[in-house]
Amino acid sequence: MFLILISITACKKTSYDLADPATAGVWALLNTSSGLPANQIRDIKRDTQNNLWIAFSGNGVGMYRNGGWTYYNTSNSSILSNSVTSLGPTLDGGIIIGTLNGISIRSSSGAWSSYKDPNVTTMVINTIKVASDGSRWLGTEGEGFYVNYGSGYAQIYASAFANVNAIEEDDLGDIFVGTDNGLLEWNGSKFTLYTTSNGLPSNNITSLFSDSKKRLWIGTNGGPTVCWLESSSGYITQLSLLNSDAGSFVRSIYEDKRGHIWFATWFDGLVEYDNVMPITYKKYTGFYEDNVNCIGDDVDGNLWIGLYSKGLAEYTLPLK
Amino acid sequence: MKIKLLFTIVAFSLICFNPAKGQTDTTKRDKYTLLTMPYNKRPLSLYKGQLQVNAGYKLAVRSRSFDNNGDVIDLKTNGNSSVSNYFFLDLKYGLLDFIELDAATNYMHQGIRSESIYYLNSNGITLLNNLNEYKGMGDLLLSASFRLPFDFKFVDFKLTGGIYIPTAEYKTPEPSSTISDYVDSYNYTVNYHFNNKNGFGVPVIKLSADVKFTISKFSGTAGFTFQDPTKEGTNIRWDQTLTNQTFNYSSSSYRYLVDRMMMINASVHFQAAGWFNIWLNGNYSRNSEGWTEYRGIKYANPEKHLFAIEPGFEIQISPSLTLYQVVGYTFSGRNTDAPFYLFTTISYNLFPFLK
Amino acid sequence: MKKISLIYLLVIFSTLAFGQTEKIINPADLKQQTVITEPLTLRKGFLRVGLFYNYSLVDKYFDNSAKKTFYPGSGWATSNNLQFLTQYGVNDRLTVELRIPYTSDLKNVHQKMYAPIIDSMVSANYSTRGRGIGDLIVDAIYQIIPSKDHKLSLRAEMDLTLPTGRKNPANVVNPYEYDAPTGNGAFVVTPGLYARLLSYPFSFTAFAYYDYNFKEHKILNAGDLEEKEFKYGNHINTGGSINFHLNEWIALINELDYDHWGKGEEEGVPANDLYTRWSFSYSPRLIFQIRRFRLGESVEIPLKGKMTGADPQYILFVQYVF
Repeated sequence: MFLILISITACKKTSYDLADPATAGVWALLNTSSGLPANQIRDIKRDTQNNLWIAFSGNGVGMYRNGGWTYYNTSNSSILSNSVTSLGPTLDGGIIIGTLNGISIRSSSGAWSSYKDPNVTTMVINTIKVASDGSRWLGTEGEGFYVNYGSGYAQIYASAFANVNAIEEDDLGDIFVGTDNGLLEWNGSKFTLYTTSNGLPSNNITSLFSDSKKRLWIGTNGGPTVCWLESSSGYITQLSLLNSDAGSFVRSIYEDKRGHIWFATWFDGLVEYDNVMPITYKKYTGFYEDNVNCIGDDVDGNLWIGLYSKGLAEYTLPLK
Repeated sequence: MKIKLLFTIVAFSLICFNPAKGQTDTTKRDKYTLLTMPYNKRPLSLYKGQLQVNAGYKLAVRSRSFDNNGDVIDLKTNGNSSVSNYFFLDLKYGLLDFIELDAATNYMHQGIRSESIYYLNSNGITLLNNLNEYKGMGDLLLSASFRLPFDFKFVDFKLTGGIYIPTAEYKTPEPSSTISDYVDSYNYTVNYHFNNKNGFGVPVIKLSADVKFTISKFSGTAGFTFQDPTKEGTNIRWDQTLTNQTFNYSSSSYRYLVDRMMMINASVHFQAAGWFNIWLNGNYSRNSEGWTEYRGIKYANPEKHLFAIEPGFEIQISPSLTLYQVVGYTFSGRNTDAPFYLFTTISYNLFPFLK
Repeated sequence: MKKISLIYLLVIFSTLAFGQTEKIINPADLKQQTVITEPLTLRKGFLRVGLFYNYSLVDKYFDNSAKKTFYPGSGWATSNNLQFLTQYGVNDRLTVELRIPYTSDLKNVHQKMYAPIIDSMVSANYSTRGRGIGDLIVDAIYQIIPSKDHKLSLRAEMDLTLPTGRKNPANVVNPYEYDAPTGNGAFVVTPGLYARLLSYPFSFTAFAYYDYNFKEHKILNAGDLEEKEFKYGNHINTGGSINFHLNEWIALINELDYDHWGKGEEEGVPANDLYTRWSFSYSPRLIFQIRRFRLGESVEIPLKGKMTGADPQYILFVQYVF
């Protein structure tokens, strides 16, 4: 009994700030009623300083940090245009903002610059990727894609691959360019083309994502499945999202802190793949809308879902 | 079933009128007298030199639970009811008339199903089943009790201090999920099967205090129990990936703190005959202060409350053998299961060193 | 292994605890004999009535490989049976018996279905309930070798099960939601033999029964519209028990049973869902004899089997001899 009393008094229990389990697995919607400048969300990205950047269609961008918003548009900043289409964080804490006609770059210190190819009429930026070696890749609509290794942007154009919808880097450092007519892989010295003959569900590549399990996820427009490419073997595995007969239009792919893969689709809602089964969130299941544009997450692991017309959905990950 | 069991208990008490035989002055210390001491004259701990072995089985039917607001959730209509089988073994020894040593262990097995989900499309049907299985030994409890150092007449008081030694397995085993009825990538069944163990994984202190009063054939007891972990623990959590109908698993560790438990109980006993005692017990328990880590964030475990009523009886079958049966019905609670349970215990007593 | 240990422990404790001397039986005590010491049939003019309550639930089963497995899917089923028993001693060696069962079975299934092509999600609860009088059983029991102390006694039984319970599903909403049948729908003849060796305070028994099922017609599945001819597989039940008094009025029965069901037929051909199955179980029973009342509680624990339930059955009963 004496020993027991000693052990009790000797035990130290540190008090912690404990999170409430009731806050996990909860959805919340932000829209113009909550103060957002628009309900159409085009892109979501987190920069290397953990600021969350949101592209508002026709209304510039917003930066979310520590629970507060800062908005940048043509009236209060040097952003090129309010018609923002895509975002790409740089390695040094800045953000590249793609618009319907060129890009704006905001550095970590708040300085603005911009770029538009003077040789083209319009430069619609579909996608932006800053690779691990610092090179900057821009995918455009109708003008191919641009690469900047530090000394300026160079255009790579071929008529078959004029529309570039997604650019991603895999775990080996190869760059993948998703176009309307297949998937191009750049290994530093040559391009390799993947099409339906290699196992892709469709040649119209609309989204790419490299996950923590070294899988390059490929989403298409109209393909009956999504698929992933094993970087080491080049093997393509198909996955049915079990939510459509005709095939989905996969706009964006993202991985959450648990390792679950999320697919943002038009018409077929939001799909969560827990590496075993896909689970669909649509209006009939109680979700906000069936058209989802983009997905990102903040430094705490909360998912942010950019909707086509209903605003921004925030999801705190469930406990299991 | 509950009504039938209560009827049995009442029937016993009405039929058996004979007064207790052979229960005389406790100062007469022969083995037979001590072994056949009725409950109302028995102290809270064993007699000096008495060895007691208790073995019991509890069947708990988990068909209801209480939510965060204390409302009842009918698990039967959700198809999520389950059954828990709990076995325990307890060894007690009376070192002195007022000091008792105790060692106890247990085994529990339960499988909890979740809602089955069908995904229908024009290519076929995919079905998802989910089972959470809890199976394994509990930790070894070692304790010592001290009661008032004089013969029990009307009042008795006992203090018990013990510790759960983390002897049982507690680390979560790898899941054993399977794919069945596979036809093609649109037609198959996923059977999630998660495995869990019953050990605490850390030493847990247990303290209790009990008081007993006796007036003629009636006795009343009241008690308080406190249980608290000595430190945080570390366990593992499993992630699974399905590739070509094969599950691959990977694990990551997380920290946790076992809940603190406090319980108060009170009971009224009636010695209907020397060999037959019937009682009604009520207990209220509260589990709180525990937490579990997810993705680097500590989430508090939901606070649990439970209030249950337990009628029961004790029959002395022979000087050495006693049968106990208790029926439990949970009346109210929060964030916890509300099982109906039947607890049967056989107690074997002897004085191995007393001639 | 754990079940074997529990059985072993139970038997050990019980054998160490007895110490009774044989009691001289007075005529007035004949109606108060325990289940171990009483004859294999009622004495002439004795009337015994009894009520049995049987409870079981469905959680696990022994699969085709005899492995204990949880039932898949989210479902829940319980079975409550009440059986009224009447026995009458026609003479010292012949007893007739009537058993009237009342059944209350419940099965709940809950499913969620997503149908994306029609943008719908449905949560469905199905419940199947079978409530009512079951199949009556009439028995004739005859002592071939009368009961005497230290000698083997033997009785023969002939049971006839009458299909008085509702044999077809009723109020069918869909194949998963209907009122389940309360009877099997067929006549069954059960001859049997039961032997006992009494050596006070112990007794040892062995028994064998054979159920012969006759062909009948009924609706086999709730979704069917017409009755079909069927025949359940014949059933063998055999086993034995070791019984002893814990004290003068409490007896402990330890029974082991083996059951085997043959393959059944539908429309004259072997049916896939009326498969061969077997079960091996252990039943400890505590029986209290309080004057002319007999109260008992029992649990039947399946130890091993194939395509049979793996959950225990709990039985409470009370009997009285007039």
